[in-house]
Amino acid sequence: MKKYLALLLAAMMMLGCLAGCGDNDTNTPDDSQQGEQNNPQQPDDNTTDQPHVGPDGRTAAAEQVYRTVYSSELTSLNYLSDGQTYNLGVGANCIDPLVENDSYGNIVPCGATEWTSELEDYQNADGETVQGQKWTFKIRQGQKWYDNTGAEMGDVTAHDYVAALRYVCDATYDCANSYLVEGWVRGASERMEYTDALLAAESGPAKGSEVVDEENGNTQYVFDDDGTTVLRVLWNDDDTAVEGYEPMAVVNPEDVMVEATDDYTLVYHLEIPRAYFLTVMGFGCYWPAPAAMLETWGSSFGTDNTTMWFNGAYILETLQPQQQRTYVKNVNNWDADNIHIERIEQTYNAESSAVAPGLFTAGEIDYCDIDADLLTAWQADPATAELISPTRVTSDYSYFYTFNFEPRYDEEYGPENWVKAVNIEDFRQAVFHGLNRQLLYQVSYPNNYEDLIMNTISPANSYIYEGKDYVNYGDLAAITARDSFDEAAAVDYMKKAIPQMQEAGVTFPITFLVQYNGSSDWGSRNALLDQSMSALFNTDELKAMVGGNDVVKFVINNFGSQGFLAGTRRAGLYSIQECNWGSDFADPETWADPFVKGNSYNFFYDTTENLGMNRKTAETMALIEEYYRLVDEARAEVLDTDARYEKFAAAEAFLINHAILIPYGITGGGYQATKLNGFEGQYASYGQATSRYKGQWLYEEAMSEEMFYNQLAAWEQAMGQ
Amino acid sequence: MITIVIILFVLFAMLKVMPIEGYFSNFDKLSQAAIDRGLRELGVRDPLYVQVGRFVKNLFQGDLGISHRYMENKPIKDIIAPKVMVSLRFGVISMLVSLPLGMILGVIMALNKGGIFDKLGNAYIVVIQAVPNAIYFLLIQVYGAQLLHCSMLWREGQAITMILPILSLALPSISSYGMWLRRYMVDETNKDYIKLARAKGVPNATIWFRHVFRNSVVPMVQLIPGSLLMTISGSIYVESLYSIPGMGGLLVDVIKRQDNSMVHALTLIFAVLGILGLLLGDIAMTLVDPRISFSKKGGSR
Amino acid sequence: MAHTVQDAMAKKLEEGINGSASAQFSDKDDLTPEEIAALPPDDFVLVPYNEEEAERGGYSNYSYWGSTIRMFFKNKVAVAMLAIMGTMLLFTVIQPYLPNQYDPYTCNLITKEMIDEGLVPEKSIVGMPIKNLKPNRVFWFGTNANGQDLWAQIWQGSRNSLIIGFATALIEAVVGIAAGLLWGYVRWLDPIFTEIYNVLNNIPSTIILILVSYVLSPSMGSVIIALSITGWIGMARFIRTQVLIIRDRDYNLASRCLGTPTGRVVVKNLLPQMVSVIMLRMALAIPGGIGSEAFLAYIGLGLPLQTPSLGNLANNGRKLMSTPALRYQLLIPSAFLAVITICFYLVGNAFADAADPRNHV
Repeated sequence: MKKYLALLLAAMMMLGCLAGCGDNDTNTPDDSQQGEQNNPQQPDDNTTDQPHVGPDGRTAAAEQVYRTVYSSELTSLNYLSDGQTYNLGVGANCIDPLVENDSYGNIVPCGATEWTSELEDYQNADGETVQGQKWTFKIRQGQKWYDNTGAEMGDVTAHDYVAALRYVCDATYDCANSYLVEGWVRGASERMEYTDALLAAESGPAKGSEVVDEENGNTQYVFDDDGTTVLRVLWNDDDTAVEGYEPMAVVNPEDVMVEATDDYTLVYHLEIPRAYFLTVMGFGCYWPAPAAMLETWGSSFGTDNTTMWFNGAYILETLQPQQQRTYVKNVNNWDADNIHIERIEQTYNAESSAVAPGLFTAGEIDYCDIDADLLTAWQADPATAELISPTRVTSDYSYFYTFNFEPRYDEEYGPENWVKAVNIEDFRQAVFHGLNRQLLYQVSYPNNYEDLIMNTISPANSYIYEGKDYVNYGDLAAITARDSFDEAAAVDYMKKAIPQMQEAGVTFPITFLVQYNGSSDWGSRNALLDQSMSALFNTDELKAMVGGNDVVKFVINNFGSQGFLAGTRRAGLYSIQECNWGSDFADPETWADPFVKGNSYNFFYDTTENLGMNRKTAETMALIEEYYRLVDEARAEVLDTDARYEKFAAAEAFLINHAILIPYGITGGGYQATKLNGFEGQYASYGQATSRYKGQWLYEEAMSEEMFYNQLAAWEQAMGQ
Repeated sequence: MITIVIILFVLFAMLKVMPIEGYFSNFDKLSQAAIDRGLRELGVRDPLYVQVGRFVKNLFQGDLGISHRYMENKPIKDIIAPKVMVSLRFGVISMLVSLPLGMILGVIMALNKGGIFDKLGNAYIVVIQAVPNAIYFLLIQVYGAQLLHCSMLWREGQAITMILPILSLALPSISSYGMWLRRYMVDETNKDYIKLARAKGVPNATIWFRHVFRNSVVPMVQLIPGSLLMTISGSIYVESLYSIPGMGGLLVDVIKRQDNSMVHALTLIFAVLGILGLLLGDIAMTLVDPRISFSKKGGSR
Repeated sequence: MAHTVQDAMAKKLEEGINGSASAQFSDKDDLTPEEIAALPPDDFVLVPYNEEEAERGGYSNYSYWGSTIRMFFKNKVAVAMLAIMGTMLLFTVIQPYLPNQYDPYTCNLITKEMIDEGLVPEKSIVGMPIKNLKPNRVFWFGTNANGQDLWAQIWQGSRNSLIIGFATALIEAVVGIAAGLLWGYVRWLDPIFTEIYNVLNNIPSTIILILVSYVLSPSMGSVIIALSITGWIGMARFIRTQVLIIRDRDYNLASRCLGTPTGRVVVKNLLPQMVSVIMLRMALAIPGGIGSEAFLAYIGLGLPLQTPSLGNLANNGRKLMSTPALRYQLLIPSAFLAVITICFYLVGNAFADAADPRNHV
């Protein structure tokens, strides 16, 4: 009965609101329905007379309750400190950020109603005057915080954003995404450094009894005799004796340059101008949190749904770990009309990969993933073929193969031999053109691998400036337009490379040490990589050139998932490896970040200082110098977006054209059985937009592949405009 | 007591070799300072005796510790308590079902030794032991739910959804109880006093139930408290399949997530339960069989 | 579960060896006087007194092993199982050398001929892996999601599983016997071993299993080590009990009095008494090891799929259970697993019965 009442109430409110804002042009598609909905012909119907019909022709379910099973438990709801996409999904649905995205990735108002930015000069720590940026947001009024029972806990104000950012900049709370604040908001790095030192001094030995610890690092900070001033410990050159102390300047929470000029005006001061600042709002560290709430719970804020408040589209009503999570619609949200799903029930099932498809066909859940393993069978069976549709490409993770320029693996795999070979560009080009990406990618995505392969590191449709996609800027345009796999070219390059390699003293076969983490898909990909490359390069013709030996030899090693990256990529224990990087904000700079000096992706920089060796040839060093010049130039271009994109594109194209790495593909694109329509939800190639249920309807039937492609075409057409 | 302390030392020593990467959710993007800070808070770099000492000290204050990764910053006893109740409920019900059924099976098999029922029972036992649980549980779930027209998952308050998990839990226990009881009864029938009783002309029924059965049940009784206590640990297979929020799989989960404080607490609980189970088993045995006494008698070896 | 079976069987043998059993009397010697009178006199021959024969006393040509084997072969089911077991063992060894076998690791790619022959759907693309093909005349058990031949994978898996089973059983036997003998025979070691036993017995065995296979990267070696670490202690305790029972018997006392070194007493006097028990425990440890590996695979810490084992093949098939067309990938490895376990179990059981001297008449 209660449920009906609530539904009735919600329906009435929706009607009222539709009538009230009918002149709002965003609601025009609904105007036609408005008349029908007001038509009181069927008095026995409790909710709406005519159920909603989606753009793909499906009818909305009478009961908007979305049920799923999950196998992986939330580890934290603390959106300020946690960095995992999965955990942030809660905040994404329960907390309103300053801005959000519409279905096409445009930034639209949410917690803020309007905003402005202007350049401002300020004095940095060295006393120089530098150009920064000031962002001013007007906070939406009349929004409230609620606890998990739905009780009102106060207004949402600008102060909530200030308190949240101060929390993030305090090392005590160990915030995972603080790197998106440090270097962005002025004073953030200094505050982090200071609180970090404070913590180290608190837990470390007293002044005068510093510890030399080769394994864990020497004592770095101590308290002065007065017990309040933090001193940095200065060690002598061989780190054996303390030479002196240097007091650290006190940095207070107020020194983080975010301020609430009044209850509904919020100002951020940035270190450098960042036109894409709004896009970083998709990360939890910029979401609001009232000071009262943070004070109450401190570091235990967000351990479960009773230790946090909500101001977003949904309220996490129950959270029973390894049992169930229930979200209910926040009927008081400013955008409640756009929240169609009334209730979300997520049931824990450790075996969900085995059980979920059966539950979906039995109608017990409304969503499940369809593995590549199941896909062909589901498509072949007429009973299930109509139930599945591809998942949308979300383009937040890009995959690519890197060449290791400083291998440090065992002698048995011939690291020195690899170094000699990898420094020869024609050899890299041969591998670059020999990588059969379609063959490899279809291990995981047998049906739509073609949509997922990428020719650039940065995904398409992510950064569009005045209608022009970043991947079509400068030299990237040509790269985007072609497929790097070209057997003939690969063999030609290898023919050219062999004499050069023989001259450099390379012995054949050249061993490729390729690692993977035990995942079955990745293992199969590596097996196919071995098979296809060996078939391509170990031909009689090429073998004859190297005296009858095989030209290449693959060693595929299963490292296991435990400590995988630390044990393989970061330690330089591979020849080539499939790597990935996720975008943090909407600017191509984010895709240059994995290849900065000191990176552990390909060691493509002067490694003398970091690794104590640098085995690159003069030719390679020249490439490195040129690449960093290009990146630095692009980074310095902070104001003119067009020029900035042009320059980043040049740097990225340089890496690809010299076969420093091989672009590969993008995430997403598996198959699923779902009763939602993802195209109705929010979209962005960064942040949490795609985790939001707001805007989506639950339909009676599952989405079919045909519906998906029609929707995709419509969406792409709308995007193109 | 000493055993428990040794267990703790062994455990802490083993956990020391876990890779530090696993203690963080986004190790990749953390600074060295943040990593150091995190490790300091966890205390994993402290010497063993410090770690064990801290754990024991907190224990005496009734504090099992705080979860770090499983449910960040949540007290462990709050996490475990509701799970224990759920596992216990399923465990006890399935034991109430399987113990009598298993005993009946064992008695029938022993009475019918070498006959058709014995052979059938043996076949059942062999098949249950040989086919991996993970596989026939799955079959029970898929076909059982179709047959009963009920949800494949356990739903609180819907008794019908408890049938399949209980059945899955009971099947292997029945076979195990049946096998043991048959074994003990067959052994008992070979004893001289039974032969004497037969020779005396004691009626068959009296022999079987007065002597054979009663004496065979004694070693079974010893096992019962232990198995009852151990139902707390739940069944990873059954609970995973039916979405039952119990203890099964919790240990595996927390080790995988490297939530050390949870691992410590769970190991301690299971070790204590194991020892307690043995103790209670012995006591139960003395209660059932007055001939058995654990007080030292003169002349014992 | 496998462990409880093992314990039950062990107990049975223990009692056999303790010699507590009295030989069974034949119950067919109580003829009535009438029957005796009715016996035909031709059946009886007068045997003359022979001094030599009278000297021979109660000697019979009883041989323990001979009787054991004879008893064993009386059990037809067990013999059949032994035959199946033998055939499977032989086949796992020779399978790769048979003609027309696919490599278990190669991802088989679709060729033009396969499309022409109608082996794969017509619209398949040449050069792509043959995914999830149902059992057919070319791939007898079908292919998996990567296009690998399931027939070859299963035999490779059986091979790996059996290696794990045999290796763990062997380590368990060697370490367990050595430790058990020391534990039982060297008195001052007793409290130390007892404490080790208490500790190992009370840390949940899963925790050790998981930690070891977690810390070492997954491979055959690490799985074997993980399984052996917990396995040996059961054997050691068992041997210790046997030693305690046997060591103070009169003939050992006599041996010691005659100055036989301890080592020799152990090897010559004690060990032979326990050979059958040890063999039985090993026979049961093999399916036990295979089952534990399957458990590790289930919780995601077993061998990687690139090293097939029956455990991870079956486990991989589990997630395909919801799709009837793909169930063959679950049922075939499960059937292999079950057959191997049942064979070892029944053969072990029959052997235990046969090795029990009470049953030798």
